[in-house]
Amino acid sequence: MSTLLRKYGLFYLAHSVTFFFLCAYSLVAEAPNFPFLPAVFLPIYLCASVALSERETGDPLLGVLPITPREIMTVKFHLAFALVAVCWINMTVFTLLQGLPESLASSVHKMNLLAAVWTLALAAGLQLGLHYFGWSDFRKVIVGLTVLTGLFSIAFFIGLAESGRDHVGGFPLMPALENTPAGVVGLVGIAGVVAYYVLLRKGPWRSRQPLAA
Amino acid sequence: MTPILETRGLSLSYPGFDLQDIDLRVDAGSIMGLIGPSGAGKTSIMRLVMGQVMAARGELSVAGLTHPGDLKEIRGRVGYVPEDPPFSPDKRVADIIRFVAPFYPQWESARFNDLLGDFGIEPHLQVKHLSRGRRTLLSWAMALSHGATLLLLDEPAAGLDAARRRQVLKLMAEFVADGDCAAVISTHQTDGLAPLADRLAIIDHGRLVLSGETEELLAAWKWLRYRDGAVSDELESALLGHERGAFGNRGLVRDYPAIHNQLQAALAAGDVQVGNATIDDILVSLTGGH
Repeated sequence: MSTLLRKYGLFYLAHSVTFFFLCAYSLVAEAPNFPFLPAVFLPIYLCASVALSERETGDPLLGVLPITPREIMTVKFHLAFALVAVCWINMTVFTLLQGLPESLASSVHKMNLLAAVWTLALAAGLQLGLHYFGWSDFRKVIVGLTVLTGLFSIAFFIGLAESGRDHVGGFPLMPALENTPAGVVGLVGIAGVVAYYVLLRKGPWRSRQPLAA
Repeated sequence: MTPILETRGLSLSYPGFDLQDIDLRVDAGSIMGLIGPSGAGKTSIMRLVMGQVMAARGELSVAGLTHPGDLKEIRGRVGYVPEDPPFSPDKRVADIIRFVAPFYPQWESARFNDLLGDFGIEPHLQVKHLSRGRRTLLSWAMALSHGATLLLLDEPAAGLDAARRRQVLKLMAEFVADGDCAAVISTHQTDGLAPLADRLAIIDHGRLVLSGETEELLAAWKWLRYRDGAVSDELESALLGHERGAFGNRGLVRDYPAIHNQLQAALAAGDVQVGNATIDDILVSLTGGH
């Protein structure tokens, strides 16, 4: 299990570090919408971590090595959670450092937490897909999602700038974020983490069905 | 005798296929030939042992360890050569081994490197640059290098030339020779299996249709060649693979020693001749040759 942790962990660690620099860039950049930059880009970090670690670690071999499907899932779920948690802490710290007005900072914090929950859901979905279909069949979905989330993130910011709404108050989700009580967002965060670990604990982590007799 | 592999009532079901009530026993120091046509369920049994699929019913144990609770330990005790070697094409052989070795407490690097050398596999090569046969040999080298108790071989000579096939079958025989280990060889090609396999199990359409000691089966199953009227109608109707030809008739009898006495007169008169059956003959007669 420690072998697997080391192997997968390298990719998640690498992405945590690059995410730190993204957050740091959002702090020093002058462009007004950059407080939301890390939250919008978080899913691509998760997708890329899963894509690279799965490709490198050799999914088919795990089906014959002395490690159970539950242990594999435990490693992957904990790593994905650690990545999201570290990224969320980064986002939170850098949002605090940005010295934003209180109401705006509150919205950015809400966005950061919702992005983290959404990314956790994405992590669980990708691992379920990998478990049932295997890397060779599911890789197109993961690589496709990585590309899509990357393109979406870039297009989102270019679109904001082009539409002339690249000021913090012009962020498309601002009205919804402002109207959502912080307590509700907090509850969504807690519920997301609980659901994630219930899935890991209860999940039907048995082997996938054979393709032929 | 200690069973290294034992299954009772093992059953599995998925769309288009059912494996039903498979009872197998492989004792220490023995080799079992698991044979049957393509799609009969041989690979499913292997996957059940490796925990790649879970049984719907039944019991499965390897060296006293039981499914599903002891799956991790079972995988550690099994040297598995799957039909499709499970290596990512872009990986180098050396990288695969660096990843695999720490999973096995008894990994024998020297043994593995010796086998790679014997098989002519360069560690720096990527899997995609290995032929099908070399990938199978890489599986063999892994299976034989971690102190396994049971060798599970699924079409283990796929892609191998005759010399390599002999080489790996010799390694299998050496593996069980000390009496503490066992091997199961699954194949639909039975050439050369008779001298190796102590026991045979024939699977067809997910069911165990015959099992027993190889010697006993080959002693019991015989071809009868006979002239019209030389055998009783009852015996003739019980023959498998019965053929009626211009130069006589022939058919396969399941239990020759049981009918030997009633054929003595016909044998003495030359109206009946008895010939040895091969494993292939038995397999084809039981599975219809599909």
